[in-house]
Amino acid sequence: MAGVSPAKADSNFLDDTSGSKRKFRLRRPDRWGAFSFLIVAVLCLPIAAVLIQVGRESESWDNLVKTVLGGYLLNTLILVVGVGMVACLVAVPTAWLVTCFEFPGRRILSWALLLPLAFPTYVAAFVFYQGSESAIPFLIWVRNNWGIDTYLIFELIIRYSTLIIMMAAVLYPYIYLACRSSFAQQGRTVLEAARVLGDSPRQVFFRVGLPMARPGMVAGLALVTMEVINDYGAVHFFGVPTLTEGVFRTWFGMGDKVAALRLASIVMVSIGFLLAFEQLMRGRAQYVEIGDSPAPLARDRLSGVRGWLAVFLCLLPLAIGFFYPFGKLFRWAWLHLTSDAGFLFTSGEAIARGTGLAAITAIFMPLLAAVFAYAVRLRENRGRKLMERAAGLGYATPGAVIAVGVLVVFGTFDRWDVPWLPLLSGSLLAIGFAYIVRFFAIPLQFSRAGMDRVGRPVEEVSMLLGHGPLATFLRVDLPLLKGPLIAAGMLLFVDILKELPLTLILRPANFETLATTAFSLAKESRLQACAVPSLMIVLAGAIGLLVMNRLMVKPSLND
Amino acid sequence: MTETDSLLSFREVTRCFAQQQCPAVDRLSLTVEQGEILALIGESGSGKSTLLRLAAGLEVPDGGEVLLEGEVVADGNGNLVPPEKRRLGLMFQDGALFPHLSAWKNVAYGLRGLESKAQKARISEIFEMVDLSGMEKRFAHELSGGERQRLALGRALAPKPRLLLLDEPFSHLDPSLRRKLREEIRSILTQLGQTALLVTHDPEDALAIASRLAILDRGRMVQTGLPSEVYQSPASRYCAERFGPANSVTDTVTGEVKWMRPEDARWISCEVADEGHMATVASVRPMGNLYEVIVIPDGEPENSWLCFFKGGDMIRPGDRGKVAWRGKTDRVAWKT
Repeated sequence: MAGVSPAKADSNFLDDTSGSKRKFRLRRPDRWGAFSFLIVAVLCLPIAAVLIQVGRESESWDNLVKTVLGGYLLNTLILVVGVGMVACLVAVPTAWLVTCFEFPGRRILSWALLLPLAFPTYVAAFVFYQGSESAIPFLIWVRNNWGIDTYLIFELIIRYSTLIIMMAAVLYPYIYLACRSSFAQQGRTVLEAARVLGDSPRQVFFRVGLPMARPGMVAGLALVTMEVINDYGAVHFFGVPTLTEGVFRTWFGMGDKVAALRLASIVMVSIGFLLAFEQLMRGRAQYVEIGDSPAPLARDRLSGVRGWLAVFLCLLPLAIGFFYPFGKLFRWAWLHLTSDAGFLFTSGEAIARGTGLAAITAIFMPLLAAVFAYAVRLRENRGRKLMERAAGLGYATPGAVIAVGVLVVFGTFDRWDVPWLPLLSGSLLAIGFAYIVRFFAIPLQFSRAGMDRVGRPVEEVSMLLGHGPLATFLRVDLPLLKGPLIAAGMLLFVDILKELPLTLILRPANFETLATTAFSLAKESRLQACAVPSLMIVLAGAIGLLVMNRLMVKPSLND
Repeated sequence: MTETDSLLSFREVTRCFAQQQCPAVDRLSLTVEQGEILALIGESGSGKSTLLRLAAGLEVPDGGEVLLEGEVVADGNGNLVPPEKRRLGLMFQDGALFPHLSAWKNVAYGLRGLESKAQKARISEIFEMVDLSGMEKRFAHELSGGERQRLALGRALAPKPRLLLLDEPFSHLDPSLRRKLREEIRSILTQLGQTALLVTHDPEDALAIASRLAILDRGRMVQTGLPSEVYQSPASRYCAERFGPANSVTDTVTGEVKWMRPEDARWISCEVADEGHMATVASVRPMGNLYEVIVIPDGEPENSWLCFFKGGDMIRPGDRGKVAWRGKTDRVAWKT
């Protein structure tokens, strides 16, 4: 112990050897609070703008209520209920099978069942719409030969049911994912206890598994519902106008801004209710599940016919939600590229611009979110928690609504005519900002989860060792958050490339993302050409899934 | 010693949490003197960790003042000297080591503004002190539990903090390792003359390390004193039970209630002895070399005393006799 002088002699920190006693400065540490408030305020601006404008005079609103509003609401309701039911029917049993039983190919299927998530609904719609049209000749044949005009009614039924099945087939993984993790997490001991108490596997499913998976199911269902409400491409393609489509039609078709904003606020209020309900059911689980997977369940082996039945049950949604549309796209893309390879280069510059913006946003946003999450965490109280919630609001708001809100806000700025301010409407800034509003919740969740994993004590030790909040963030949190932030960035990149309604409304001239390219080609019925960007979106989506899946099984920052 | 001479003082400090009804720390005053090791004891929720965090600047008091070397560092108006300016050391129960830095860099973390040669010397000195020489390049997950705690101690001591704060530093360790590490830390702290504030719920930790104890109950301080004082003369049942079982014994002359340890009881089977209190044996349980005997004192049917007797093999339930409290005649008077 030689050489260590008693604390009494030099009780100062080593960096403070000036001899003179430093006077402390008392201050209120609220700079971080101000920062986070600013971020929240800016992020909420477009949403607030929508709500504020609702009360203003509208020419066509009364007419709209009398004619189309009922249809919009009914269509939205039919889709939400239909897709939700079909998706649950698919997701819950498959999740149960892959977590609790052993059968040929279970490991691969367990992961592969997520693949349909790589398909944005509108891309799947291009493929399936074609399929649904193939029934029309048959209906015409029936009319001509049997004299019964079933065309109208059956066409309607086929169109709606195809849309519902198609959407459910690509959206069910949200519910599957939530159920799989709730089965696996609480499963082991509880399920084993049920077996020991005399339940057969089937009884365990209905008496224990299903009730236990309910919160997860509801959480997944909420995400599915938001996707359905948010969808623009698929419903437009199938001619089933929902509220979101209504926003497009009213603003851009009829030019009635206020009526469109009113529709948008109906969408937001219904999603608000949905979220409140989901929050009630979910308690404390998270959007994106990151964490160690628990010890695996002792799975029952399904042999013989039952084993193959399980394989079939898992392959069915996969076939409809992934293999069929993927195969179709692949064939179209192949046909197109072999005949017209030059196509890729004609709109290459616009696509590069869109992809570039997506990349820049995906790099910048996680950093911003990390700083914000840190600021919120630094002094956690009710106000800051509320701010965190509010900052993630955009994730629950349909892209079309946010886009419209951004138009209102930036339009107002432009009208003020500030000399040093460039024209904001229709600029890259507007669309980049809208992406941040829409997707901020994703990097926020990742940062938050990562920071909780770093642990508060580590930060507190750093501060006591003389590093202020900023230095602690840079030297401790940021290095430890590298993994989650990169993952969040990749997911964001993919999500932005896939995003359709927001991009359609806000994109500047000569600006295309993969999504808008695919959509406009599909609208022109150039399905083979449309397959190329669609396929790229699906591949990017698959990479995103891979990242997410790896995160769910692996990341362990602390030992 | 006046308050301004104390290294750390709490002056009527209050801290409330929104979720809780009663304050975690309630108008509490306490000082930590230069060179002493003060242990805060109390059951969970008694406010001991909150008090430590108030000292560190990780919590802001809702009322009262926190003073370091006589200067106010936090008050009830939200004014606060942030933790990084207080020059304190902190050691957590799980070490809270930086997982992305090597052991060497963990220790170097708090050493800023030091030229590299002096810094190196200081770090080597620390590694030697906490007996981790040769492990400088390892990461936290490559160290054992005890090594991690020693590294955490070294990291906290490296910048020569004025006050070291220890938050349940041994609670993650198994009993044998715990005893060893406790001894090591005690010797390091005493050799350095390091002032420290220890939070623990384990009486052994407190008695082994601390030079003074403070017992907290629901945010208030209920007793403070030397470890032997607090152990021998607890002020209340709560204080007594921090250190194991205690019996409430009413002084038959003054009517005052005292708290007596089971091992201080003596059984006198002769009813006519002129000391002790008449009692009936309720149960006898052999516990190795001792007998755990529960007796009901006469006149107090609601009360029962837990006693450890050496020669309990002669005692049977239902026996009548007298219980005397060894060596405590100065503190408990008996009516014969």
